[in-house]
Amino acid sequence: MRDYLYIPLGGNRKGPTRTYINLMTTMLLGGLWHGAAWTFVVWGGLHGLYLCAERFLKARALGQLTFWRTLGGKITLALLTYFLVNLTWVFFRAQDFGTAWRMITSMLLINRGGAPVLSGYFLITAGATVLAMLLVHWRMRHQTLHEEVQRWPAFAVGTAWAAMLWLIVTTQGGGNAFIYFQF
Amino acid sequence: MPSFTSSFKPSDAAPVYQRDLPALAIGRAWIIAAVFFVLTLSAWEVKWRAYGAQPTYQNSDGAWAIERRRIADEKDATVLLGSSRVLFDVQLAMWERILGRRPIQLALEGTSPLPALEDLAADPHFTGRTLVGISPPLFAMGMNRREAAVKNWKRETHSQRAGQWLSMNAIEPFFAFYEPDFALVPFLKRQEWWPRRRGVFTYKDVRRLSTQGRDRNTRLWDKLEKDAAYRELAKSIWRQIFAPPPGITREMAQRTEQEQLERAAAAVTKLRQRGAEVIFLRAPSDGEFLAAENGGFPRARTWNSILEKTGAPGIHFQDYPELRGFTPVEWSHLSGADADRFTEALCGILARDYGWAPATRKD
Repeated sequence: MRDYLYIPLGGNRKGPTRTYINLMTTMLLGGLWHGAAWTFVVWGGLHGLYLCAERFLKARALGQLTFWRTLGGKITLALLTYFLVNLTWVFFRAQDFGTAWRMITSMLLINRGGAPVLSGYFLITAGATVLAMLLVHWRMRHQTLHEEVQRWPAFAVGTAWAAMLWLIVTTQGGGNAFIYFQF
Repeated sequence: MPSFTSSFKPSDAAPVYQRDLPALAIGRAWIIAAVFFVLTLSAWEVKWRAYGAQPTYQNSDGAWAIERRRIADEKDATVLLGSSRVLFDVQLAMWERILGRRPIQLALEGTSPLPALEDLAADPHFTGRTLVGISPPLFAMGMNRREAAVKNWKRETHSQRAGQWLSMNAIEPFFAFYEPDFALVPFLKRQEWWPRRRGVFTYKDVRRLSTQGRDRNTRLWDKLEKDAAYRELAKSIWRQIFAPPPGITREMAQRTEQEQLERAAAAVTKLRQRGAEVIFLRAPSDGEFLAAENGGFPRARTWNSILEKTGAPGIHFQDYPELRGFTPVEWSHLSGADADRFTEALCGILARDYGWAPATRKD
C-alpha cells in the first residue's frame, strides 16, 4: 500500500492537507480491497484516522511530551496502539454493524447483559498468546531475528527447531494455504 | 520488529540489505534438532500406543473421494450410505462373502445420508444398489458434519490427491498418533486442569470411536469394549446431544424434517427411474440413545414417513428377529464381532427378501 498507493498519490510531499488525504485514501482503499462491504471500509478508515491522528499529535505539544520517550511512555503507546487496532478488527470480522457494535460494547464493558461464551481454556490460551506476542515484539523492536539468533548457542537453536517441528507435526493442522495467496 | 520484505529500505536496525545466515554452527544445530525431534516424536507415538491406539487409515474427505470415484468404473456397484451406524455396523468383508461383491462404503459419521444420496441421484453413471442408513435425529435435523466430503470430491485438486496418496502410503499405516482426536490442541483442550468458568457450557467433542481400513471398512475401536471408563465417556458425550439444540423452535424443526423428506423422495425417484435400487436401513441403537430417539423422533413420524414418502422399502432392526438382540457397546454402535454377525444377518435378509444374492440382481 505504501509503494503502490501512498507514494504514487504523493505521499507526504504535497503539504500537510494532501498528506492527510493520501493517508485516508490509501487506508480506505486498503479496506475496500478486502471485500465489498462497508465494514471493511470502516476498518480501513479507522486505520487512516489513527495514522492522521498520530501525525497531527506528533507535531503538537501533546506529541512532544518527554514522557513518550521514557520506558513507561513507550509501553503506554504500544498498549494504546494494540487496543485501538483491536477495535478495528471487530469491524473487519463482523458481518454487519449491529454485530460489530454489540462486540465493541461488550469489549468496553458497556453491554454487560450477555452470557459468558469463552471457556477458561480459551481465555487462558488467548491471553498467554497475546502476552507472548507483545513480549517478543517488545524485545525485538530494535533488532532483526538473525541478530538475536546469532547470540544463541547451536544447542539452543537446535532445540528450538526441534520444538517447532514437533509442534507442527503433533498439531496435525489442515493444508490451508496462506489466505492471501488467493489474490 | 524490522523485517526483510520486497519493499525493504535500509534503516538503523538493518543499514545494509543482506540476507546472510546467522554466524552459528548450523550443521550442529540441525543434528541436535533432528535427534531431539525423533526422540520427542517417538515419545508421543509411544504414549498413544500405550493408550491402546494402533495405526489406522484416516476417515478423511480424500479417502471418501477415492471410494466415490470408483462408481465411474463400477456403475452397478452396491453403495452404502448413512451415518456412523452403517459405517461401523456393516462389514465389507462379511458382505462380500455372503453377497459375492464388496460394496462401496460412503457412509459419513454425524451426517444425514441425504447429500450423498442426492449426489448419487445426480450421477448418471450410477445404476446399482444403495443401502441407506437412517439415524432419525441426523436425518430429521439435516445434520451435515461431514457434508464437505460430498461437496468437494469433484473439486479435488491434483495436489490434494497427491497429498492423500502420500498420507495413505507413507504416514497413516505407520503412526498411531496420526489421528485427529490425538492432535495436540484437542488433547490439551480436554484436560481437566483448565479452570471452569461459571455459566459456560463446554461441549465435549466426540472422541475416537473407530479404526478404518484402506477402503473405508470401519470397525468400532476395541478400547470401547475393553475400557469401561472410555465407554462411559462415550455415553456421556452422546447424552449432550439428547436435548434439542438451543434456538430451534418446533416450527423450524418441522419445516426442516419436511424438507428432508421431500428431498429424499426426489432423490429416490430419480435413482429408481434409472433402474437403481434403494433400500433404507434402521440400524440398532439402545439404552438412553434409543429412548431419546423414540422421544424426539418417534418411528411413526420419521422412519414410517420416509418409507411412505419415498416409496422405497426399509429394514428396521426391530422388525426382524435376526436383527434384534444386538447390544451396541455405547448405545449406538456395534462391536467388531457383533458387526460381523449383524452384517451376516442383514445380508441374509437382503438376499432372501430383496433378491440381493450374487448374480441374481433384479432388473
